[in-house]
Amino acid sequence: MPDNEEGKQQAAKLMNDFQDISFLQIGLVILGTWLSISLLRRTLPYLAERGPSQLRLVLLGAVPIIRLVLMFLAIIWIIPLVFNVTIKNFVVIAGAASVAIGFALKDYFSSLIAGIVAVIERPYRPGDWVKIGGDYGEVLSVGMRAIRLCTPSDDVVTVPHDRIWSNNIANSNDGAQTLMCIADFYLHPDHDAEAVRRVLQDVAMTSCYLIYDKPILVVLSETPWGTHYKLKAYPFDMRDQFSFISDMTARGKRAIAKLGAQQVSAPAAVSEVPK
Amino acid sequence: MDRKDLMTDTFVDDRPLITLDQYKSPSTPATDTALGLFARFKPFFGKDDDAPMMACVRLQETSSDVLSEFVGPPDCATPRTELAADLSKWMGLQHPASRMRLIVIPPCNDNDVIASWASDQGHQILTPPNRRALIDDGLNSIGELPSKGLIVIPKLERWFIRHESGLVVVRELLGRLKQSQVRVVVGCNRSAWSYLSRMAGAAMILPTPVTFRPFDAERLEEWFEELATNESTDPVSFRLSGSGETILSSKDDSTADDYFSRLAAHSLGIPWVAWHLWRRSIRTKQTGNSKVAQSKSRSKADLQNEQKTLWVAALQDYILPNRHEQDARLILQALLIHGSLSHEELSLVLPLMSSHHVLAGLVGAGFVEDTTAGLRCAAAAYPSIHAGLLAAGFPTDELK
Repeated sequence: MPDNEEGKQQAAKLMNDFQDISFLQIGLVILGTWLSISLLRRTLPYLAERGPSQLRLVLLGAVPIIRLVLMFLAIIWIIPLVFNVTIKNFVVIAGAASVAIGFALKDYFSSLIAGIVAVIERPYRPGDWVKIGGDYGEVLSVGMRAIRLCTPSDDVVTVPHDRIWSNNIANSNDGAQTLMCIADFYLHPDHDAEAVRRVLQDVAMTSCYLIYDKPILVVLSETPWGTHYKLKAYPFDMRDQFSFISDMTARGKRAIAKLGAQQVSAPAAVSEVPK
Repeated sequence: MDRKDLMTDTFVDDRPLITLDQYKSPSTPATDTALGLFARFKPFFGKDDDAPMMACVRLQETSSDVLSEFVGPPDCATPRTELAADLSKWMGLQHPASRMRLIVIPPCNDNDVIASWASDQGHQILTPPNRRALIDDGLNSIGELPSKGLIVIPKLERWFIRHESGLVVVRELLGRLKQSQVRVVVGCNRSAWSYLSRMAGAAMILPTPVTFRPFDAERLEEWFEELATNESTDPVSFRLSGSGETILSSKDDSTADDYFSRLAAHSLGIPWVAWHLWRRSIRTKQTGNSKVAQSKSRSKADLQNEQKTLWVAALQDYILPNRHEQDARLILQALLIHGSLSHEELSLVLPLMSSHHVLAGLVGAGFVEDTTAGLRCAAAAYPSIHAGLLAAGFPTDELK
């Protein structure tokens, strides 16, 4: 019985007395934080879409960081209102929480922790174009548990943050305004390769989507079914990447035909293994 | 002294032209930015009590006769004089730093100042080939370059520079100019130069570009006052429609300074853009039935004063059609780079599937002029176009 009494006292010390807890204050802190985050999640993307394009990624990227800071401040504010914060109590709370998380909410909390790591390490930010697993798309939002990607076919894919523990994440622009676009051409080997390289470079140089300050590369390699040309260039706005690739491909085909070279196509059963 | 003489007296010093990186647009008055922000939020806080001196509904666009009389077309005498002074100084040098001279012209220039200088001086003008011929004939379209005298290429942008065939031809042309021994004057608009300097390696071949000095408030005021001075008719007064204060010939210089500082900043220091903006903002008072009724109670002197008054409306930005904004910007950028394009040429440099109705929208909104010489950006819309392209991240001329 004395042990039971001691345990009760310890539990009582762990939390403040019920009548001392200001539920109104806690409610206001939670409401204020929620309102601030909601406002932030609407206004910053709104401003990002309407403001100068140079600020777009900065504004979008600020959302998860500010949200994390606000939530951290709210938690720091609320904990002393509820708990009697001492080192001993902290150990007790952490132990109890670990057991609960370990048994019941492991995956959920793994994603939450990964979300915090993702905000700090920034493998992806809102506005970035990333490939996670087999999904490629623009990061629409970085939430606490998952990110939302918009794929080129306008599907929205929700990817939990805990994929960063086990998957490679390919970020095409990594916070920059632009990303490399590649137009592929397969030509019959019997042609003037230098002339084709020159003309493909001019095709990229005269595209209306091109950014002037980035390099343009024409890389070629021999494959069993023809010469593979990769025309690599950067658009000034990465949202134009598919228009840019289409423009380079259409005009590239015309320029190649004008040179007298011939494009080849592989039989349906044959496909190139990506390097 | 006639108008042209007055203009030629101004602002020609030892260095008539400046290098392109020295160009700095006149700055916006400090209060304007704050007032602009305040004006946006003002409707949220209550009724607007600052009614303009002359309500916009009582003003009408001025007839072209009146505009021609008091805001006559710019003869660009000052840029011409500066250009002539610079080139004659350069021609006078026995061993110039470079035997080529590159003049970068601000955009939307209707007056071909370099070509007219070359014609006046009797120099050889290298005209660009027809664009269709340029595509079909390729390098053969250049022809033989003169082996002596001075070669003048007034508008390099006319060589269809952002087309695969045009770019090849321009690159070859620059190479031949580099190898030739004759002196060369090359003119190029600012957007085209921004493109060519990076894409055709033009910055490596041509010398450091020079350009005209920016037109500041003082120069604009002086110029417009000269344009408004007309000995054949009674003098008119120019009053701001917002405050009713008189500008031009006013004893209170601060009002005029503010207005012209704003105009100089808005026009980015480009004289012909400022002139188009000025001309566009001139209004006269409406004459309708209600006006007749009102006039019965007014004195004859008041009526005469009204007839001698031209109202200057506030500067207004052009607004892009709210659909297909990106397509619209692509069209405007293409027109700026090439100076002007026909409908067919535009379709050759843009991949747009639906450019026709976007183009019609741009013409309707005043951004683009559809002239016999082709489609081109309207000078008065240039500040809005420039700001819009920059905000959308387009590579364009970097005006400071």
